[in-house]
Amino acid sequence: MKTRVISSVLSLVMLFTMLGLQPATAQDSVSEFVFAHGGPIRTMDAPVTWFGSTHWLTNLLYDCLIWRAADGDGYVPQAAEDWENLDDLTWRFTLREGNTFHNGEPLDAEAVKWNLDRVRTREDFLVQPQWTFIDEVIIVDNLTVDVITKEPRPYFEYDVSYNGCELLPPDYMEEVGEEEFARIPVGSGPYKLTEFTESDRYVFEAWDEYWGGRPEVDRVIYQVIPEQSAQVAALLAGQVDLIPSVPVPDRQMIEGADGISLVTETSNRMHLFYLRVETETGAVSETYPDYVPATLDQNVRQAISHALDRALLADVQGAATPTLLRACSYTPEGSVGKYADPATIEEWYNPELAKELLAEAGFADGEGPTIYLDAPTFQSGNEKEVAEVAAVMLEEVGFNVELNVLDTSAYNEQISSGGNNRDLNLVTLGCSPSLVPSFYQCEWVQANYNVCVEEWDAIGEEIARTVDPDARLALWEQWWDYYMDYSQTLTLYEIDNVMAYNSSEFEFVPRKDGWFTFRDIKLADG
Amino acid sequence: MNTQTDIESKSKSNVNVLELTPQKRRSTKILKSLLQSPVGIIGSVIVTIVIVLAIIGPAISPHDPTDSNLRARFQPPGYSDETGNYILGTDQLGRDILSRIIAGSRVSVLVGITSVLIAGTIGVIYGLISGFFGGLIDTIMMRVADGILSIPFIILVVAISGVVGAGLATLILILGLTGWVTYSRVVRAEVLKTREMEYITAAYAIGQNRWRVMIFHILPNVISSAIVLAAVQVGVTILAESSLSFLGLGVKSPIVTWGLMLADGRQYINSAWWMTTFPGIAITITVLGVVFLGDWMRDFLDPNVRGRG
Amino acid sequence: MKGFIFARFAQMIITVFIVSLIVFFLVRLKGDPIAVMVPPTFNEDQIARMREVWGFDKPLGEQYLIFLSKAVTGDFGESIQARRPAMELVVERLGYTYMLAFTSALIGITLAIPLGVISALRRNSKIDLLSTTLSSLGTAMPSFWLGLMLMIVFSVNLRLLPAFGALEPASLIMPSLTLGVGMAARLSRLTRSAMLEILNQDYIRTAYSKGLGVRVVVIRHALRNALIPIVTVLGLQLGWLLGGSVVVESVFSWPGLGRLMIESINVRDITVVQAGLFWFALSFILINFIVDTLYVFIDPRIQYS
Repeated sequence: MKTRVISSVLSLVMLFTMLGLQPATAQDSVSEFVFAHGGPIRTMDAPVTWFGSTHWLTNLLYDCLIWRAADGDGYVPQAAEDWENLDDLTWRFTLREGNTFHNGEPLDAEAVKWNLDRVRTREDFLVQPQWTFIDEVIIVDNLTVDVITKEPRPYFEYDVSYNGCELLPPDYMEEVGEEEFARIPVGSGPYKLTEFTESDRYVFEAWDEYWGGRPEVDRVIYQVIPEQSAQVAALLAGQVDLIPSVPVPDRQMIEGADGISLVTETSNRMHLFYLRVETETGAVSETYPDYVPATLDQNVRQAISHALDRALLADVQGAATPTLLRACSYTPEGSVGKYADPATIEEWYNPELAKELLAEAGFADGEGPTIYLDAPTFQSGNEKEVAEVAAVMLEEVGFNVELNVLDTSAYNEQISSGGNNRDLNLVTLGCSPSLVPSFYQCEWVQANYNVCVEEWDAIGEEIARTVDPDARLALWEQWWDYYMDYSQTLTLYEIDNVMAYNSSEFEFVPRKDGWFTFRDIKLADG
Repeated sequence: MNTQTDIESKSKSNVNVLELTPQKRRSTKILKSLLQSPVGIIGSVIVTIVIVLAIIGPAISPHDPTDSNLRARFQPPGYSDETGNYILGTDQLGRDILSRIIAGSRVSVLVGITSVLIAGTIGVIYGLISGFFGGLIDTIMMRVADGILSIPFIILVVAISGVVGAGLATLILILGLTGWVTYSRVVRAEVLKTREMEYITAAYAIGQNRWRVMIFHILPNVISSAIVLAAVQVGVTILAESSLSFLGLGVKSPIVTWGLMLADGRQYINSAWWMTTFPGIAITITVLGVVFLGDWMRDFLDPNVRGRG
Repeated sequence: MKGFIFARFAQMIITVFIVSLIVFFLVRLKGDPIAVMVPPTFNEDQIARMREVWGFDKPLGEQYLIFLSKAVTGDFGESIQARRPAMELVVERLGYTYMLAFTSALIGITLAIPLGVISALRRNSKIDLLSTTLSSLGTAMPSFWLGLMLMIVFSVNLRLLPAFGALEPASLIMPSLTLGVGMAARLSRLTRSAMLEILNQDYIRTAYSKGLGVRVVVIRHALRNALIPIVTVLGLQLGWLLGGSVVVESVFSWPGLGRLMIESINVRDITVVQAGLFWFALSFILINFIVDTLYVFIDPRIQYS
């Protein structure tokens, strides 16, 4: 009997050893950069989806007309080698001579028109609403395209390089149909997609005929590794070259590891609290018929704002920069006016002032109103922990906090999009200035909030029309005054990514827009 | 060939001894058997310690398990500062791991044992009836069970929490309602086997009706598998609670469970190993105690083993 | 026998049908699938229009009928996220999940049965206590913990095995070990218990007294009868594994069905959830059917009256 056990165990061991000793896939002299992606990854038919983390990949596969510069300063040419603003409503793009897609199909004005028309008219595309600013696309000649907008767009370049700008080959698409295209996508970017398993592993190979020249690294692989600790292990095992987020307790260990470097850069996302200022939108008045938000009172909202120690919350998040405005610090709009001043931000945390404001709202010291705080567990950071600590801070000035932390997808479905959010709900959002004012206009109704302040509305409208940068920034200063005063949205901080990568083989400079796309990844010198 | 002769089938050892034992000596018999079995001793000692901890825990806890000490996050075991000693280290909010383990014993044990009792009771009864009566009843009952098994746990959980709301009661409900099918299938299988045995026919022959046969003759013979299964399921249930907590579908703050501690520490295993290792040890010891206790109970109730000393 | 198989087949179809009905409504029970799909910056009008485009504004009954009429032809709709047929995505992952499931089951049985039998034969001895402790450890250990520990030892420290993916045969080792150990722990307890029950019965003593050796008695007589509960639980465990083990697939980035299901549930890619679930239900019911049939072969006295 004993021998049976021993022999079964031995044979298992032998089997495994044999499996392990299979010759590893021959290591060519091909340079290969592997990125650990948290998943999921959606379709490669780029305009269909709005998810940024999928567009990190499509950015390798496709060119747009123009695109954001890595350091956040301006825009760079891609399929268009030149562009100019002809008048208030017209922008002219000049395409490259002889530029083609990976399969040889020409990338000309007709192709561009097909793409822009497709993305702005297809109602099943989730990015479509973002493209309705275009009125018409006109083919001037084979290499020249005019884009006519409905209204003057001060942020036109941002708008035209938004998700969905990817240029797909029309002839190929019409030939194989959308379903087959999703299986074998073709673009005109510096990398071709040679093989992939849906939402699991994507292998990109450098394309020799790219107009900008063949990229330096031969192969870029996006490997989905859902578990964060497995990502760290994979990096330490030398099987992955970059991980997007290093958990706080692992940072010291990784810093000390040979050949691995830690680097921090903004993720271009923020954590914010939405506060209830009315009960008509969403389902909240049905779900909680007797509920009257304490946050209807502006004093209460401002009290909440001053009760939060944003620096500490940033710490809990892991790596973040405390902010008061709903815009990134590197954009001009995010650095204008007194609220962008670090001194103001530091002094904003003022529990005494919070208590005073509460008293003014009719709540004697220590007996604040009951407020409900809704948060997801883990969306782009430590939402659960941040919410827990925020709750503690609010209780310290007298609020009675009912904390409700939900699984992220249930949170999105029921609270956020369901409009069942109560006094406070924690959201993660991007920080581009192009759209922000529209979110605070009377006609913009979202399930979980609607803000209507006439004068504020008017300033927002003007910003959307003002093309002159200085005049626009002056308007922004006024806009921020309203934002801070009204306190419906409380910005907490701009989240940073703390990344770790294989510095012995690669030279990696993170983009300032938080995107993990690797057109320009370089090999380390020496 | 494996045959049973008539003489053997009427052997006393296959008749339920419990029926013949005078009731008033039962409790002494239990205690005596317990003390004679090393497995029983270890098991009951462990389980007793855990239950005692669950009851008096808060009184002996070095810190408040929900007290965050944000300056002392992710500290390794042996850390101490002006707020006290943190023998087993701190978690992501600076809370004392040891205190949380003590606090967690309450709910984890409650959840583990309650769900298993609910699931086990439903499952055993279900399987007993299904296997015993057979025919159309068995068919329908088993297809229903199949159906329930076919719904992935996670969908069921998300759907139920969506309607009823997450929390302790929902947790126990879900774990109980999804766990019973295993017991029913195992018990049913045993019943199918047992009901064909000659001593059952003998019981009918001496005039016992169907219900008496089912409860007093078949049940004791099939229950040992269910007990062993139940003991194992306690551990499985505590871990299932951990998966739910990881998804945010488990208990809410400020309730602490070992499963929640595992979930909290999951992403930090590479460095802050103490966040998962210590609750894991607590779970393992508890499971060990329950398994040993279950083994003893099983031996005690198994008519084939009793009477042989 | 034929009648039995035919009847079970019919029951199988009915059960799968009912289960798909239940799940169809479960995933739409509360909340709005469209709401999870769209960017957080969509306003109410845009959401309403998207709902229309994808057919979610139709009454539930109508939605179900549309789903059903397509499903009988094998068309489970298109994945909203991937723009490819939902069933295609499921089928792509099946091979990986099955590979992992069967290997883990194999490991489980290989470890569990000898261990359980020995523990039963040497009840209350040191070896029995050791095996009990080991199997308690096996059931109490969280699979993500075991998986990550294996990864740290074999991938990070020893640099022997791949930390993720299913790219080479060696990738199978750690995930299947992780699952197999848990399975072995559960099965060995059951094996021991079932064996104990049988070993003490009179007919076993009779067999010994006839002069049959331990090996023959144990394997041909005792173990065979003990197989009934073992096969039952093995069937259940295998059924679950065939649905994809979410934790292990997540830890080892194994491209299996479990991960696909979780992702699809999280983004409410309903068509994929329905397709995957259909497959899961089918395989589970099929396995239970096989198990029920096996009972008759293992113990000829069992009849389905």
